[in-house]
Amino acid sequence: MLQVSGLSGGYGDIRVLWDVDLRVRPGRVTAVLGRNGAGKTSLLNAVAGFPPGVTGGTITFDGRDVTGMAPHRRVRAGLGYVQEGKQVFRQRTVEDNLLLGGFTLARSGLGRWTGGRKRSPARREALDRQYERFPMLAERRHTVAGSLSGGQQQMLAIAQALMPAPRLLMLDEPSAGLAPVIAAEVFEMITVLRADGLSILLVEQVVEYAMRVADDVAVVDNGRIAAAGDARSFDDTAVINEIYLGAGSR
Amino acid sequence: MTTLSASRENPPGGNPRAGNTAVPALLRGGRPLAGALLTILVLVAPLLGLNDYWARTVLLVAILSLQVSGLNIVLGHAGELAVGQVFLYAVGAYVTGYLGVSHGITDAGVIVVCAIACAVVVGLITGIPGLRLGGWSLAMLTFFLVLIIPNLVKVLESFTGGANGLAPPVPTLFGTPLGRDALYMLIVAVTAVWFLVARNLILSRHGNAFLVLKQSPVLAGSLGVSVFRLKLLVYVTGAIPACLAGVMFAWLDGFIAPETFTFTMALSILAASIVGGSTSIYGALAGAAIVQLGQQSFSSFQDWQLLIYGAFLLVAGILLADGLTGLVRGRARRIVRRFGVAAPAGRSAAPADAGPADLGALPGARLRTKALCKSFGGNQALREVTVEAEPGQVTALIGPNASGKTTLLNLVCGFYRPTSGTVELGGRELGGQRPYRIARAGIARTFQTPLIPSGMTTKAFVATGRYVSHRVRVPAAVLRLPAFRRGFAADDAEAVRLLGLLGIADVADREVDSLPLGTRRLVEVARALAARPAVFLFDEVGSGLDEGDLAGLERAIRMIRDAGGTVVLVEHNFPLVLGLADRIHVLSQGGLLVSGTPAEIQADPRVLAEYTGSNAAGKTIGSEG
Amino acid sequence: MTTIWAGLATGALYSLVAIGYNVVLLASGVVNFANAYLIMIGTFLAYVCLVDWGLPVAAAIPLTGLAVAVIAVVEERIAIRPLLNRQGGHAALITTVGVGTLLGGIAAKVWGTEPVRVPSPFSAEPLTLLGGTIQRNDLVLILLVLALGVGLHLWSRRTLLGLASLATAENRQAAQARGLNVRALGLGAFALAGLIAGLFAVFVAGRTYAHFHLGETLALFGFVAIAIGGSGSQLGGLIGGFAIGLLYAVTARYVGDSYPQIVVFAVFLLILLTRPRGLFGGAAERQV
Repeated sequence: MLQVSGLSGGYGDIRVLWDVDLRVRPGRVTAVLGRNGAGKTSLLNAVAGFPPGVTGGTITFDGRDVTGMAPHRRVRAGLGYVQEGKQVFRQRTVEDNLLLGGFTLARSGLGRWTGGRKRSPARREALDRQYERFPMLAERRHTVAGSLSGGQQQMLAIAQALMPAPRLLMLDEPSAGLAPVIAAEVFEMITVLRADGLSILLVEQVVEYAMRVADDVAVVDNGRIAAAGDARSFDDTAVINEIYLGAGSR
Repeated sequence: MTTLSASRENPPGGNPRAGNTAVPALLRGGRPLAGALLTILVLVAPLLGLNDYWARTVLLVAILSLQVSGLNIVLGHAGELAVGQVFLYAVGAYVTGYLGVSHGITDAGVIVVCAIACAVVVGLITGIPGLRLGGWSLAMLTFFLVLIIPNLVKVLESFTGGANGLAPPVPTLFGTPLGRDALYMLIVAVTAVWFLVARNLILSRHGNAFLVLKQSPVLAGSLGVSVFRLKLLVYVTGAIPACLAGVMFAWLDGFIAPETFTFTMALSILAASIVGGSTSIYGALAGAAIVQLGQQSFSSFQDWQLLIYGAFLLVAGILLADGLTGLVRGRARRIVRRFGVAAPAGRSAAPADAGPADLGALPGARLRTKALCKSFGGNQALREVTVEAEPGQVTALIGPNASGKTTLLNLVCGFYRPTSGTVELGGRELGGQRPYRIARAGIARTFQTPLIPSGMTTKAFVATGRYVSHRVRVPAAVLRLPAFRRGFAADDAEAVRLLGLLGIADVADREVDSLPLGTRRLVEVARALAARPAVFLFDEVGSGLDEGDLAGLERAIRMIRDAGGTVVLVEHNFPLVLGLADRIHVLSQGGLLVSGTPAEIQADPRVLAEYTGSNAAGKTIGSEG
Repeated sequence: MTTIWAGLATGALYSLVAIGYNVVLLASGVVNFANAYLIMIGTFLAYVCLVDWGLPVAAAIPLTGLAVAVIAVVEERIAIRPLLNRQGGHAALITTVGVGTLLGGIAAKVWGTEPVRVPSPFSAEPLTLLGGTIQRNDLVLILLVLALGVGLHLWSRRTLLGLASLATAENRQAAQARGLNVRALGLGAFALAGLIAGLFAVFVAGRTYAHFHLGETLALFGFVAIAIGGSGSQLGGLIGGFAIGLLYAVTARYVGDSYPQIVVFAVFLLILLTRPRGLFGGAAERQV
């Protein structure tokens, strides 16, 4: 599904990714663990086409080399990305947010310039699908996104990314800033999505949540892959000690 | 490439900030001497047989360079585009004309003082509204000023003579009318004096503060600098030379017509500024000379000037951030880097293992938040957080991502206003005040991504921490009074000493923006120390540091604590926190989860649960730490 | 009433510039100083089409529109695109002023510095309306600008692309992550702004003549309209433009010919001083 090989990159002079190899297999959840500043978000950003700039290595998605591709074209290729920090359009309504999520479903040519927001049947269908999956959003479709609670915004961000029916969904810290009950709901949703056959690349700080859904695990430290493997063969306690309390590095 | 050499060699003294200069240029004697000699040479040129055409050319260049200098100060140092020099130029000219024609005042000294006063008034009237937003608003406002000149001249016809113009009488000095040569010398002398003033101002801590301001208003605010007031100071200062230029012009031509003050002239000033390099002091002279000679040498310049200026602004805006001198400087720096010419190490490097005694006592104070709340829209980022940080202790604030740590920090620093609750420093309420006020009250901070300006040495950057606490007034800097020299020497010595305490004295003379991330963090700590604040807020100060840097940092933090400072660490690096903190507050989902000593925190199952998920709560943290 | 009509006609010009500013501002976050200069070039191109080539109005208007759109696209490529990856600074301010100056210089060089009368598509016979007289051309200009402003406002709320433009203005990276091609959007905004400038040039020229200095005044007054209306608000800019136009006409009529610009300038200062985000704008909280 997704194959990252020997990826290096950085912001200007500051290098943040060193020779990273990562593989996401179809229909599985791959969790990337690591302490803050380890390079988890940088890795997702690079895969999605955002800075840090890639200085070496390749990113292959569905057999296609997407390494130098513009971010919007990666979305069209089927790569969905839910950024860290509930990046919804706060001044727009829930429904507008979802419709924007389905931007790539728009008709080509003139239709997109003049077409009403809901004219495209494909977008309409996608919208109905998300409302079905997230009834809470259907109830609040005309609410301005900025006035939703944190958990609702996170759900909206996920629903937005699901609009164009991606084949791989990348989630960056979906539990950040959420109460445990709400975070549990978010992860419940991830389980549902996996059951639907979606491949998922998950970055998560809370090991327990990540382990609940992960099939494969990769541990990032100092911009490098420190360990990778099947989730069942991973010992949580060792992982916790290793990456959060720095038992290994200090 | 002729222009390159012109901008490099013509200015008296060249650009003192060029390259990785080790010795502070302003304390060196050689170049100012060369400048003085060159000034004298130009001054006496008529006696050496300079003909009228060239004498007039020299004066026109001088007058244009004053206007360009006014723009450079604002554009190059406050980072704001203000093109109202033409308006001030008109003000200067009309003040001269009005005083001479209506009141018979011809004394050059009186006129210059009046013109400066007018410049300040105009600067304040337009600067206060324009600088509220800055950027496009200020640019448009100043363009607009140029546009309304003809209308104002007409409306104020009784003062300005309207479309007929004004003919100011010949200026006098101490009662003697100035002849042609004397006028020449006066104009050259005034120009030279202005450039000396500008140089002294820019090559001082004020100039460094301007640079900080240009590159990061956030940093300027946390240094205790009121961004608005400093910008206004720069803007008003920049108004003065433009107004003086108008005075000189009125003397030189002896006639003022409203058609002189055009939009095109504003563009020519902008073009000259960019040619010469907006951040350079003497670039104004080079730029003015190029534009003036261009205008005079080609008879069809008038027809083509809009095209030339337009093309020029376009190309310059894309290619060069700092004009030609910037290009030269950038290339020089690259060469230095490529050939590994390291800057000489600091001369007075303190030993790396300096003890706490070296820091002296810090005036620590208790920082306390009471039921602090902050919400953004429907999102409650922080609820009812009550925490304390005591002097002589290291207090750590930890918590997972988005738990509210940064929000709390921004509330304390004044970048956010609390929705409710209070922030107190030593019993004094600080909540809701502007960042610079809070910084002045004694709170210094470092940033998650270090805010590092370009174009200054590390020790100059560290010394910006003292800009407010050890203030040297502008006149002292301009006149290079003993107070300034003392302040400068003390700033330097203190900066080098602090860098030494952190074990990085060797970078004191390097350009600060060339340093690697780890060193930048330590430099920020030194910068915070330089202000000798009561409270230190370190935001993720440990991230991205290698073992060596981390050790230096830990030693510095212990030193600050032992000297009586209040240290607040906002940190993800759990081992670092466990090793350093006297007290730890754990935030979670915007609320305070638990407070306690490192041992208590380590043993608290809730903390582990917070970091790892509820089911892991049963497991203990382990034996390390 | 004649004064009010004159004010509205002048105001329509300022609103038109404000609309052009907003179109670009929303999609790429840049104030395109050269926007008013695009209108200025448009008036000359309209002259070329109508007089030099003798084309009918129906052909001249779209042709001018296309030509100016092309110029705007070229501007985006050379003056804006290279700056996109650079952080901060006022480079776009300098380059767009440069483009404007360049266009002014070209106009002066090609068509001279004297105002050129562009034949109006309407008869010079003034209309009497609501107790005042107004040129047919001016009335059409007012109505068209009103329609354009309201139309763009609705377009940005109702169509997906309009929505995308608002979203990009709010959060550029999030827009990219949703599959929006923000670069194309920026380029499209310049093209649209150029197209508008070109299409309206004939009617603008009918009121002002074609003159190489036209750009400066329009650029500044259009900006004041935005300052009043709040940046990015099409309706605000529309109202701001007409408000200034009326203020201008009333001052010129009752105070004196030399005063309108000074009064508008004073209003500008006052707005910046008291409501720097515009009368219709909200406050934003700063983040570190």
